[in-house]
Amino acid sequence: MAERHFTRTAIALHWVTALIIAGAFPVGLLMGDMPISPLRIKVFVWHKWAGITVLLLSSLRLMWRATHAAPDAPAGMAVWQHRVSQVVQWLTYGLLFIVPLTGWMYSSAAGYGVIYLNLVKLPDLVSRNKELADQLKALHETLNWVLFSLVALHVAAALKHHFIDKDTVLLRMLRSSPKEQ
Amino acid sequence: MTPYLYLPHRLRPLRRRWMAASLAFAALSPALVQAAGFAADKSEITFVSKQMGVELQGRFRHFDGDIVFKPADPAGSRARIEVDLASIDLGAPDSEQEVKGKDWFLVASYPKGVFQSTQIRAKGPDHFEAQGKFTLKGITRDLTVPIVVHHAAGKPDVAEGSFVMKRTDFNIGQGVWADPDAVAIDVAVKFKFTLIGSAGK
Repeated sequence: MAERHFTRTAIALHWVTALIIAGAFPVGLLMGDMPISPLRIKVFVWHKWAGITVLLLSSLRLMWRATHAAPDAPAGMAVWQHRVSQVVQWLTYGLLFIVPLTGWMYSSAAGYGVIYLNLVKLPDLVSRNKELADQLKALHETLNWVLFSLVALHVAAALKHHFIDKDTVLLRMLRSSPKEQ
Repeated sequence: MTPYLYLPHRLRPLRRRWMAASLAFAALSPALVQAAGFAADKSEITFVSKQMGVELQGRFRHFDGDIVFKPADPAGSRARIEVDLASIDLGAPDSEQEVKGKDWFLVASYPKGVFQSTQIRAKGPDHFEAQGKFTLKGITRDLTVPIVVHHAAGKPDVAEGSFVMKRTDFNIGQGVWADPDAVAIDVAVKFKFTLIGSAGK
């Protein structure tokens, strides 16, 4: 039986999402400390666009995953390892929705609407409320650190599989059909 | 029904003596002194600016002035509004600090924004037009504002209006802020004044 592999679409969605988060995360960390300036205003807006893009791509990914099964765990992998990897993956999936949503809610509560890519005016998720905005900001930041930790685990596991176990777990997220190489 | 809602400065000769007496009485009774012609706590001046196309609501907490409104005699009506620019409310303290500074309102030198009407004309039932001089940051420009007056039984009349101003006409947002993409040039201003002495319709 041929080993199942990720589709090109799944791989593309994974890496585009990873790239956007790799940009939006450090920007989000730093932008709050930027002095008030036109650049700061733009950076905030770009950060929001990045978050909404993650939200959209994650929705697509989930639909894609529902209709295109992921490859099985490598043979011989401990059951507990598989379980942990599943938990980490699904928690990460959850945060790919919750983190942008809390950012969007924070923006709404702070009184800033979002016009996605200057094209689509998004609805305000909550009404303007300074106290709520402060709470949502803290929540958005905390959840980002949780996401960061999960991604760190995810990356560490991928590298461990590649360099220590020397299996195809990392490679199969890099090319769609390794056997053709 | 009083045709004159408020008239401290433009007294008709026949009423002068009576007014002098009542003003003396009023001076003893602060609650009766209505210096503004509008109820500041039931009035508002708000605005919408755009950052990267996103509308952002703001308002001024404190403003003062004098409105003499005579529906039957628009030409005899007038308005002077003085806005305490440092009382700006943007919902973000650091932004408020920024706009009080030199690139924006420079409130240390120009603490007030002032509108002084020069002519008020009727444009239809309950619709008026106020022409006047609008001064911000030491620059005075002509401004024409449409006004609609709303009546409600047992409540004071409310005068509402709005206009769009170009912030650059008054050097508001200079230097790096001249960039119209970050903060749009056009600012939409709205106001609502609850007129004192107009109840009982």
